[in-house]
Amino acid sequence: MRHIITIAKTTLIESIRDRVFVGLLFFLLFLLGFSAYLSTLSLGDVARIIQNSGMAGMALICLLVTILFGAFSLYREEERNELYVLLNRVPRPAYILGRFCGTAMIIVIFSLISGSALFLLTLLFGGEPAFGLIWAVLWNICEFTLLGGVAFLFYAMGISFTLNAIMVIGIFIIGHSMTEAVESFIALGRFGSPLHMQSVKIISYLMPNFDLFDFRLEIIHHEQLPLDLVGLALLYWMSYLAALLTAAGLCLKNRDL
Amino acid sequence: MKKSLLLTFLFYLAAVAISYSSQTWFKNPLRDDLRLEPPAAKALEYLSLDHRGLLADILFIRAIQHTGSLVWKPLNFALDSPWKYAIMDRVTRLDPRYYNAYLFSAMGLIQDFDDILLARPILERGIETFPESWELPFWLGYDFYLYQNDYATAGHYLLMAAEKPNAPKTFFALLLKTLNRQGAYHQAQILISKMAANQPPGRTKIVYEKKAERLKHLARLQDAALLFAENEKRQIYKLDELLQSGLITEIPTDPLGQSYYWNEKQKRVVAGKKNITQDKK
Amino acid sequence: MQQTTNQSPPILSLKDLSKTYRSREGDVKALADLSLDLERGEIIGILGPNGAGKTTAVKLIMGFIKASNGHIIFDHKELKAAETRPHFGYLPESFRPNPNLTVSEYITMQYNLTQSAAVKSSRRETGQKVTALLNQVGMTSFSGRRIAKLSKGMGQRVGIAQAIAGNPELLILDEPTSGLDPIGKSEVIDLLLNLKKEGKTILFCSHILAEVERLCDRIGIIVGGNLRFLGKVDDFLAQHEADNLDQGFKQEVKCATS
Repeated sequence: MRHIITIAKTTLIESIRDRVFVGLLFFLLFLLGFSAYLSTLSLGDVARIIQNSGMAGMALICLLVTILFGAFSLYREEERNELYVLLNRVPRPAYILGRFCGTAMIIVIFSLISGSALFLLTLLFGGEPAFGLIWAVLWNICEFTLLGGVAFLFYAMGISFTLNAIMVIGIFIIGHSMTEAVESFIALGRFGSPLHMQSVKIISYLMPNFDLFDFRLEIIHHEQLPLDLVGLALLYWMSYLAALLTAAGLCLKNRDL
Repeated sequence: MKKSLLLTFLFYLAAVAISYSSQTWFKNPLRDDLRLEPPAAKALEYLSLDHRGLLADILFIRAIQHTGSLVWKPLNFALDSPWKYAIMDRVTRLDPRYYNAYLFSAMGLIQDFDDILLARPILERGIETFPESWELPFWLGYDFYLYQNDYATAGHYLLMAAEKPNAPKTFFALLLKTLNRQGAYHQAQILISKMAANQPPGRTKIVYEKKAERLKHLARLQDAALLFAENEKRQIYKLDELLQSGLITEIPTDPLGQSYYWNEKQKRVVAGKKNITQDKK
Repeated sequence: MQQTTNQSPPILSLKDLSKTYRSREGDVKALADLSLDLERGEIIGILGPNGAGKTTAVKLIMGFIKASNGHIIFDHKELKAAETRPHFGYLPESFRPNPNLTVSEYITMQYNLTQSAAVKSSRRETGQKVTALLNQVGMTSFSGRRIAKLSKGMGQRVGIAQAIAGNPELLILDEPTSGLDPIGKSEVIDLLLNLKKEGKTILFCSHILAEVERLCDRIGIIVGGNLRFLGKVDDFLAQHEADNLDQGFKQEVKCATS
């Protein structure tokens, strides 16, 4: 546990001091400014547009955070040969867990900054306090920590950074299209073979399904989030993340470095 | 270093100037080459990566710009109703609970007489999604009344709106007129009975009650006239024919002091001053 | 090919350590049957041209790669791959510490990692230990400086400081002077000599012969994955009838590759 905390703390400090951190904050500022601008083009839906575009901005920033602070920092550590020094003292699964916790903290920081800024913008321009954004922050954290877990697994499998980043973006896109994909293929299934349909269904179960964390429309419409779906999403997040990190630890343990 | 900075600034300035000029030269906010057919709603759902709300907002803004351009800019492109309603269809499919999008489809977006026909399927979905809303059926009915002169459809939606909770009573008069014009006396009678029930005792309540009684009479006479036409394979010329054929026992007295007669042009029983020329027939 | 300098039990024994990589062209033997004993308090230098198998040997000892064959015994206990080596201090080749931390933060972090969960040292104790470590490598005055702003030589000192954090019994240093200027090299060699005086056991990989000659009690020469010689420098020179290590080394490599 001590190892995990030390590694996580170092990851956090190192990331905050990185120039990329400041760069991403500026990018976030730009995206929020764009949200405010976009809202002026609406017909009285200012709060709605700020929240919608702000949530998209939050997701974009966190995708970059996952790739740059999650995946890239791992490769950079290996390139500096610092990984060997650390793995001399820290068990490999603990290293993965520590690094992951550090990355998760950065994702939490960025999500909270984005969420708070969005709340203020909505209040300032839209004239309404959007408390639903707390949920948006939570689901954002769930989504991108899970994606971070995917990046960690690819790293542990020995995949190069470029391929890892491409695959993480691919998983991000696929993970958000799961429901639509299954629905489309079910429709296609009428014309295709049942085998096709079953294959698509199986893939949809195996791949990370970010659709489960999508409550954006409910948040925008100030609706009560369905508690059963919330519970299901949290349970899914926990179990999938645990599986990813366990697999990553196992892969790193069995890999020649 | 300073030179490079200056050069960077100059290049940037040039780029901004070009961007500004292009917007000045090409004022048309929706050029024909950019007015692509919107992809299917399912494809847009894929594209949005679960940010359906944002994509709906962006498309909605495009539709607003398209319509708004007509108001404050010289019209240098054809108004494309099928395009703008296809966009609104995608908007409301991406975010089915986007109330303002439905409302806008029936209000600001209507520019052509037939626009309401394009808006109708969108608003039907809106009515289904927001069963409590009186505004959506009201505007749908109002547009059919105003642009299509289709009183039957207008009456259907206006009545639907009137039956919603929180529906303002102010548009009941309009509805009543519409129902009257289409000859839907049964529906009109239900409506005015409701209006009478909502009124506090007094002169207006009495008038409403009398009008309700008149509509009851008209409804009965209209039903008999329709039955006559069905049996005899022709329209009646005057109400007496209904008495002779035994379909009614008497022509009721109008509580508001007017008479009932058959209006051949409108093909319905109406109340008013007796038209002598018609009776002569 | 196994030699020991005295009869006391070795701190580290390598027995028939081999590593074979599989490739499309067939199996590539990176290291073949390496056996050697490392005595307490000695400095052993592993020499070899680029690609000879030195780093593979070190990685095998550190457990970063799995051996195709053989055993690694430390203090009568067999070590397995992918396990931590808390009793080893390690400085990899071309090591660059985390540039976003200060020297003292970095050494504190490494020191904390060497401490077991049972031993909970206070912040003050840790601070004292870190100061002592920095003092040992002559970096006390740079403790608050960001690592990114240090010279390569200073970075290497930080690397050595982290290697000796936690007072390990055995130090494994992979080309600790590579990429350094002559002054930097000399500083690092002096540092290692001081550590030797303190009684540390050091396994030291290099292809710079002068520093090996200056530092090591024994040398091992690896060429093409095979340990060609293990013993004292004088014995090596006598064996090759050479005047210096450079001449003897060249002969050995020529002989091995011909």
